[in-house]
Amino acid sequence: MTAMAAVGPLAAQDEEAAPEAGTARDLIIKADRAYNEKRYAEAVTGYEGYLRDFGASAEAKPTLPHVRYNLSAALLQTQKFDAALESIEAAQALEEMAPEKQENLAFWRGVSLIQLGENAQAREALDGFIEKFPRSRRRQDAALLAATALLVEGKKKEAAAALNVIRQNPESLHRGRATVLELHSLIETGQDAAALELLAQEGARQDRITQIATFQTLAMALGEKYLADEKPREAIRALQTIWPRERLIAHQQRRLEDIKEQLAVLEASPNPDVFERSQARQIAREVEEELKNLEKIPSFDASVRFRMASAFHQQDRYRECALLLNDMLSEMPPDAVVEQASITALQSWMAIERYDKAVEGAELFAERFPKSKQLPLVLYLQGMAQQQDQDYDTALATFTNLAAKFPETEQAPRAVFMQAFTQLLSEKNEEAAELFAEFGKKYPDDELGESAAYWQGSALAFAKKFPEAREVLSAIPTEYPKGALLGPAAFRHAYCAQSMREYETAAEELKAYLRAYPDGEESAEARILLGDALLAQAEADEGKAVYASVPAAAGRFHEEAQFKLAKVLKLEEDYEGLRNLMQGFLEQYPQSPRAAEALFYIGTAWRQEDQMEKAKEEYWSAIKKFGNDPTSYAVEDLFLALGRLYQGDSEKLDYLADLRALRAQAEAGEQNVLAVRTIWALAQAVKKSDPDLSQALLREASVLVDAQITSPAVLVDCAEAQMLAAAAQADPAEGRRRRDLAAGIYREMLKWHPRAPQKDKALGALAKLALEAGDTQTALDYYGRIERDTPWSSLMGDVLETRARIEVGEGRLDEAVDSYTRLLAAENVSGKLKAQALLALGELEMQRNRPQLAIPYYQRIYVLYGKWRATVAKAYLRSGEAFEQIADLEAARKTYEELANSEDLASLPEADQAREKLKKFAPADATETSS
Amino acid sequence: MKRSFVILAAVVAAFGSVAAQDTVEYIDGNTRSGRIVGANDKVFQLRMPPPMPGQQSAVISINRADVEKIIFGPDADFDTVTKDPVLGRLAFARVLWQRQEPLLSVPESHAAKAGMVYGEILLLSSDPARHNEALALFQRIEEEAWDETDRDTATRGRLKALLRLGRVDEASAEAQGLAEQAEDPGLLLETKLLLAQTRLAALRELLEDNPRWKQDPPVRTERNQLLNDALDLSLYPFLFHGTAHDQAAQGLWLAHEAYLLAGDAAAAREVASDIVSIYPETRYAGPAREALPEKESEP
Repeated sequence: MTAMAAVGPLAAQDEEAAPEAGTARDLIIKADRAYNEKRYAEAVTGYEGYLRDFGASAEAKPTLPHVRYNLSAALLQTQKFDAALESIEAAQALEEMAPEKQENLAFWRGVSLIQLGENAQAREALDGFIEKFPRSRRRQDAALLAATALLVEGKKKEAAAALNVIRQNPESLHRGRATVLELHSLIETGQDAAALELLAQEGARQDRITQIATFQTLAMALGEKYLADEKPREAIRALQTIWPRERLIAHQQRRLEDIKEQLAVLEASPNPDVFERSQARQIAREVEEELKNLEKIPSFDASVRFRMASAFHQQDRYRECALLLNDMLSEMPPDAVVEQASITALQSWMAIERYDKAVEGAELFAERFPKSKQLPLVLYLQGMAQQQDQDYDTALATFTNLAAKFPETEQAPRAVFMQAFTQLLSEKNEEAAELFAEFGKKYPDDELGESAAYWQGSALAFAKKFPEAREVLSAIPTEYPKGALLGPAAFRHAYCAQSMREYETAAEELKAYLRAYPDGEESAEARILLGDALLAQAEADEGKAVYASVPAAAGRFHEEAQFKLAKVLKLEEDYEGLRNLMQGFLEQYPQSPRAAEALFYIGTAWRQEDQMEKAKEEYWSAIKKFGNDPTSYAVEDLFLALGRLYQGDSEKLDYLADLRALRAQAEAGEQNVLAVRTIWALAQAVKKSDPDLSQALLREASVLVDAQITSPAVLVDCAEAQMLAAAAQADPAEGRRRRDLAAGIYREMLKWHPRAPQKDKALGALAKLALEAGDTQTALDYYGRIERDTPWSSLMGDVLETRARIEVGEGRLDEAVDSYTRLLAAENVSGKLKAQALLALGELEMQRNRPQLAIPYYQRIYVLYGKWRATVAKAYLRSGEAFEQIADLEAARKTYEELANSEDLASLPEADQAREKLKKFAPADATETSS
Repeated sequence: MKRSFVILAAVVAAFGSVAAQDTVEYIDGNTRSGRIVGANDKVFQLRMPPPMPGQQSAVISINRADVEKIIFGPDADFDTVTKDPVLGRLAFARVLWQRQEPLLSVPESHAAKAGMVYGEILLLSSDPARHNEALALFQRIEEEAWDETDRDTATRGRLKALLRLGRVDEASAEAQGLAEQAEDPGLLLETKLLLAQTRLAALRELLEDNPRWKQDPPVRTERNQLLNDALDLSLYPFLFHGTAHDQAAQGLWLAHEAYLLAGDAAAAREVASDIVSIYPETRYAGPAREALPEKESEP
């Protein structure tokens, strides 16, 4: 192709007077005319006839350069390369041949040799041409052809090197083509790194490459190769040079249009540059070919993305993998590749704990591949994702559906197992036990059999069905003698005996467990249980020894054992032993939240021996040691406990004096944490005796606190003190300043102590401040956080009541109904508030002109909340009015009568109003009234 | 002294490139070439090339009503700033914008682009006053630019300014709307990146407000959601338009930041490596290289 394109324009023969027919001149003129009119076969015949008939004559000699030159060109045009080569060589031998024609002939010789498959000779010819005609405009064509010859010869490495020279030449016309060929050669010869480097260099300017789709297909091949070699990063680099198909097609279509326009101009020209025209035609053909190929592969983008996803998967970069696949799968027609990719995407979402996405993917899979063999696996993964997302009901439904739909698949037993386990996770222990039992019956030989039995026993134990649990657990060693859960089963078996208070049995079984599994996972807990069982049987010495044997490495179990031991020592009145034990504990765990409890035991021990001063000393010593350490969370408790050791006014004054001294010492030593704690302790100490001083101290502390290192209890006390002071403040500016200070402390407390038990207080106070400032939205946000984060809060009733009132005020009645309803369902809400909520709900229905719906709310008040008289009286009255509105006058009368006749409510104004309303009713039937 | 010199140099450079020409085509078919140096409601000011070397060039006024159209020639100064919009070019960019400002609504003018590059540079500053200036500038371009694409781009610029001013919620809500409407792939990428920035800003704010977020389940959920959103959006250009080098690299750099905020140093290194090896020519490659241990930073 390139060879044909390289044939240059030929000079037209000058027009002369018409010669006689059959003469030599006539033959040349006819051949020239045919040549100029592109009837090359006819031209060849003419020129060959001339050479045959007259070529040897002396008169023909001057015409030979012209004839031989044109014959060579015509033979090339007719693709008769054998004859062309012969003709070219004969032409080249003519001394009279003009130099510019010699240049073309030399080039054509190379072209012909290539076409004849004589690649080595062709290269030699073309190299010779380049050397001989370094300024030739065909020099670049020759270089490309020579490199192509190398490629065809199979000398791909050499070809790559030669093509690289062309590509690196910024002036080369063939850079684009050389780039594609070089890339191909590099990939073929395993020079992957060089190929990747080429992609990096040319990627940004690939829009100049005619065969851009081929270039990108090669990039894809290289990416694939890297993937196979498990070099994912390199694969990504290669694949990232590929354009989206749409962009590629649009680009090539634009290019084709441009070339066609260019070609039209060339064709319209009276003397077209044949070479240029040929090249334009070739580019057009190539682009058309690429467009056709691209049309044939609609999944081009998907292929690239799938490979990219594989590369990310190889690097455990599941997010990238899942994102790529997810996008692709929703758009591609369902086939085997998409099916497999969907599962990979699902697993990738699971790997990064994006359970919502995993569920989404699984649902899409089920929709698109309802008959897939992989559907059971997908459903299983979907259930697992739902379970991990704590969406237990949905997970259960998924596992149940899977087990029912695909009972013969390998996922079915797992699904049944997971049904049971999901129930266990949602604390439906009895249901879980039943399902585990069902599993055992249905799949007696399944590998999960032992686990099912163990969890069945555990679920029964959690449900406090200890005898049943023991029965199940005791069968495990027989049924699974080599099982992996024999230890845990033995422990749980003993645990059940302990829970049934069968201490002798429990002790025996726990000892047996500890003999068999001295380092078992449950061994520390088993030792504590054994200690409990032994002590319950009055075997104190052995029990203490067992507690003491819980190793320090057991963490919280060790701590627990230490305190159980302390309790025993206290009961035994072994105060010295108790002190030693607890002192040892404090040394080992100085920052434990139970440090105060340990000190309390020490203090108790001294107190029991009437050595109160020693007890105080212990506390003071601990306070001085840990008081400035913000990570010692028990110090506040120590202060409170210490305060209780001081009895009588005189001692209490001593305590205050000691605290003041400590404060002075802390402030002098810049021990800010200790200083704040001491001020707070002072405030606590005078809370009852001098509340004003207590508040003043807290206000003082509030300007010193650093929330990050201060106990939330101290912070909230300080903020509340500022709020109280603000409320009592006559100067609005000062009040505002104090409220701002309090708000700042609350906010910082929430920031640094998100799990503080005082969180609801802080949120409630901030909501109140927002309401005072008229910012209801912010207040509602804080209330929302109380509902979300502290559902146990004792403020819940007030929160929901205030929220509902705001919503009523803003006309959002449905939301208000919802808030009141939540209030009624909430725990920790007083009966008074609930009664008021019911009244409000009734009022809302009355406002909406739905008295029939209001009545049940009113009635619930006087049935359930009789204690709250004022509300009950209102409820009666409004209930009567509602009955009147629905024209049930008899019911209205009865309601008014109940109110009017109630002794409890007689003193309330509503009773008078009821009596007044009754006047308009006819006297009731005596029987009915009495009934 | 030094600063004045830089500004002076910038001004000189801004007016120095007289070789490029604008062509004014009159309604009557006549044309005039020169450089448009100003405009008001009624006239354009055209600086004519000097009639002969050594002579001063003249500025003539041309009635807007007489002009069919203006063909704006290339502007080398503008190209320079666009290629490398760094804070050091602030004064230069301002001069370019001021020169173009009167042409904002004139078809084919580069004024909006000059304004936007100036706005982008303003946003690189750490001074909130400059961010406010950028905000006002983008707003003006949104309202007055002749080209719809420029107006769309200015909207994104305005949202970036809002982000820089800490008005995250405002920017986030608007960016979400834009992402749902964007059809042009380029704008879609820009919007995704913008949205990623809003999520990242919200995440940063959340973590600052909740340093102990791990202890707070609702905050943990919110943090995970924001992190996932920020990462999914940041990675979008890289994963789906990897040949859009600048946007892909910018997204990866945002992902790097998100991973660092999440405390996932290994994942942060991965994306930094992607930038260094795949997009070494982008402006994100330098910082990415610095973020990598020495041996990993070689592409």
